[in-house]
Amino acid sequence: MTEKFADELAAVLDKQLGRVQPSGLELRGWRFDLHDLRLLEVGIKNSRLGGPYTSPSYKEDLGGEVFLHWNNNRYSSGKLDRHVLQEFATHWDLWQRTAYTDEDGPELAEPYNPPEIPLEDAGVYPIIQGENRLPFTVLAQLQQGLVEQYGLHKMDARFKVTADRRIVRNSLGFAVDYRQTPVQIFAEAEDTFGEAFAEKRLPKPEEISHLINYVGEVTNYLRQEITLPATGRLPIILAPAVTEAFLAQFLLHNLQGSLVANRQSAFAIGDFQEKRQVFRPDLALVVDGTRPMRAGSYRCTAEGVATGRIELIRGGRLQTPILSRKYAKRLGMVPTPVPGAFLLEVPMVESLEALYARVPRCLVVHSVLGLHTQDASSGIFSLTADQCLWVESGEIKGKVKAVIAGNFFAALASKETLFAKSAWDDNPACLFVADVAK
Amino acid sequence: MRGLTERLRVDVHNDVVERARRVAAELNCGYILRLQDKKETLVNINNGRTEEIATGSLVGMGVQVFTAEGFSGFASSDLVSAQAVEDLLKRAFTLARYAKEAGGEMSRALFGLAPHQERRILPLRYPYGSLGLDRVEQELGAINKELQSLDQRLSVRTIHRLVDEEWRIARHDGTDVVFNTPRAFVYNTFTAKEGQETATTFANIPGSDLAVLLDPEFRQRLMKRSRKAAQLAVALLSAGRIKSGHYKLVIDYPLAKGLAHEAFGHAAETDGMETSILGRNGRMRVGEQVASSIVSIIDGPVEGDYAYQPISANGIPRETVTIVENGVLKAGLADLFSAEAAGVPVTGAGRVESCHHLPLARMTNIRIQVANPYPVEKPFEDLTPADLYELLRKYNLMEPGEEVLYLSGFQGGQVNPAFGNFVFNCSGIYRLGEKPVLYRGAIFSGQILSALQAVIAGLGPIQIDAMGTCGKLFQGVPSSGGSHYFLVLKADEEITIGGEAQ
Repeated sequence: MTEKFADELAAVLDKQLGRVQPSGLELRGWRFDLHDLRLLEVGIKNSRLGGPYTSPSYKEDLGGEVFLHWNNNRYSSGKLDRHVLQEFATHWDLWQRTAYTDEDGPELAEPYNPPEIPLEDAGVYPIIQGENRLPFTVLAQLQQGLVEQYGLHKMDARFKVTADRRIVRNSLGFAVDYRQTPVQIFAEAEDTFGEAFAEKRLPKPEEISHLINYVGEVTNYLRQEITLPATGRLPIILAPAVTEAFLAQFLLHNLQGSLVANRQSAFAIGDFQEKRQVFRPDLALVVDGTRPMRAGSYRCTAEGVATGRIELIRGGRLQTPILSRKYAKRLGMVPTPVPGAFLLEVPMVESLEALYARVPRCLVVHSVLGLHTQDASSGIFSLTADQCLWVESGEIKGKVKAVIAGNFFAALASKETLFAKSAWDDNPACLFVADVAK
Repeated sequence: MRGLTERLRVDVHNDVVERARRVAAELNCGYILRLQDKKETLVNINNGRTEEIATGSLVGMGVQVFTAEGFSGFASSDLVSAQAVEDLLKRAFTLARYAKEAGGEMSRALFGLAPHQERRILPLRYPYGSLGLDRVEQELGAINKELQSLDQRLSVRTIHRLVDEEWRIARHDGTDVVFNTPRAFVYNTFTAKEGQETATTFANIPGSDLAVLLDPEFRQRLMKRSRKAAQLAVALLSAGRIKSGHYKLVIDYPLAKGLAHEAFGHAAETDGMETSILGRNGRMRVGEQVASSIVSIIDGPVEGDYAYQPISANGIPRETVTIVENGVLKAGLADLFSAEAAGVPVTGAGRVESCHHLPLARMTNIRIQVANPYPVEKPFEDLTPADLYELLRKYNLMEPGEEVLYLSGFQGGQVNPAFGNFVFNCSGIYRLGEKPVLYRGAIFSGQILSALQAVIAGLGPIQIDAMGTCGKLFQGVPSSGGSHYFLVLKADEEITIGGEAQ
């Protein structure tokens, strides 16, 4: 079905190549990225499974994007849906009417074979067909674990499995066709603390146990409320998930090629050309889309740029922005993979507990409110840390709420900032000094 | 102008509606069928160059099935046909049976509704497709160029989005409603850059059609807002950081929308009442004093508004609800499935991002209304921080030398209704005085039950076109609202402006 759709779409577009349209446009090339999705989702809200807000749900959708290259540097960009072929004349007319001039318009990818990355778990298909009730079983297991092992009765959770057949093609003959099976599980207890599993495979039993234990332990610590014992300039530790969210908000945002090229980033193009030192010399930020069965892995971008492992920052110096073909052309650089996954590489201590030992007292931040509202281009943050633990002499004393403020760029530049490995996360916990208020 | 009798694209699916009714009768189940047909265009101009013009469409349907006992399942597809709806109904029915096997939650609320037929088609002056894309591009290019020329340190991104969206909701009880939710905006983002300093601000004009681009009044308002935001971005380059603490505050109406939305609206949504701070044992605390006695909070659809939705995703007309009246909690934003448990009437608050999602209780346009507001003559867009200082002095809302901060420019917010914590962020902060001093924006962090107690005055008429996208439970739906031009809040221990340590 998907392949037939892709073949027919390619055929109708090929037929138009080189033809001068009544609009005066002449199609010089095309590319499309098609996803045929089928997914099943089951959820728990307010500790109840499958009620009207979380009814077990099935979804099917065929969609994607198409990009057309016309003469005179004209381009069109449109969404694809299942109805495009039936209503091709309407869409064809629309795409011509929405053609725009772009002097930096990208070239198409020449045919090649992007790296083969294992991204498909056959166990997902019977679940979507309803032959395997694993999502129900796992959600019940999570609920039972949190109740019996941790005494936590209020839970919200969801389990989503997707089967995605992806076809990327262009008029030069580039053609990639692969399947991937994203699986996402999320569990949150007492409206307080949640953790997610996201891979392109079903979870292993130990990963479910980790989800129960991590959510259970942290939530129970966060239920013992105390008054914030100190304010002012204090060490704070961002838990791994919070560090990752900060990296996405402040660092990845400013590394986007379109923002760099348009002077909307904290970094200028000259900074990359000079490989300017912006962070501490032992810090690297890596994009890696090649790890088998990982959530952020893929074979190629919609433009046909191969997946890969690249360093956006090495030795604390800027190496390259994240570049689509268009911005690579405009900036005279090489297109990069997109950051499906990004990894901060920096010397780390062995564990979160080892970080506790480095400071007499600190605030461990497990959740913040308002991160998406921050001005990413400044690096400055001012946030409510609504779920934090206060640690003194290596011992967790209880839950506090605080308002934290600082400069994340300065934290990544400082040799005083410390990092801790996490066996279950891509990115580390991060300790630095910030302004803390009640 | 389009009228109530005009045919919409979703009208052609009578065979789908009929087949659903027949199959559900055979299965002995209830259902809510949601048919959606959406077209949209996005134009993105960046520093004078067209970055992208993209078009998109979504045609699809979702059907939520309830067994006679009340177990539910849901299935959706981008295929819309009589056969497809039959397949989806059967699949959703099977999933409802799985829910039963797994000991799922039951709800029979759907079976107590009266059938409803209605068409609510918003007439538009400049509907989708009424203007050539080349003209749209030209108009946006002119806006972008003019704003870019304000200062060499500025870069300007201008985005225009126009959505033509139609819905048809049908139920097993014979309900068949049709409505449209058209929306549009022009949104400017300003980034000022000098040396290693960078600051970003925003300005926008929302509406329901191309009037946001073509109507001189809309255009003038957009340009005034944009010039102010552009000047603010440049001024922020040399602005310092405020000391954290508890201050007497003035917030503008977009921030007041943030306050209403984050501090109160979410907590008043009945699907979260079991854990909301506005609930007790799952029941809404109706009748309790929750805000200053001068404060009322209202939510409801407004024609021409960016977040307009006249009928809920469950096919129930959306009511305008006075949530708080003179400080007293009066009603909730109640959808079909949680109103009864929360102890309040259904108000048609269910909304969805698309036909592929399940409805949740949501806001549309939420506004704060203060009794006896002080008059302001100038339009909001013409007022400067120095003008605001003069107004506060004139009305004795500020003593000479008193420390009062004016928070300007909404940058988004977030809430945890279970704990009553909420935040929203602003673009910049002025310490008011004859010569106001500018600081970088900082988080406004508060507690739901004390924030609205702190409101002591409103200035100016009501303005309710502050737009946003609400992301509750990973579903993005348009939101909007506002208040008087300005609200004055007394200093409160539970309201903190985050910043440098004192």
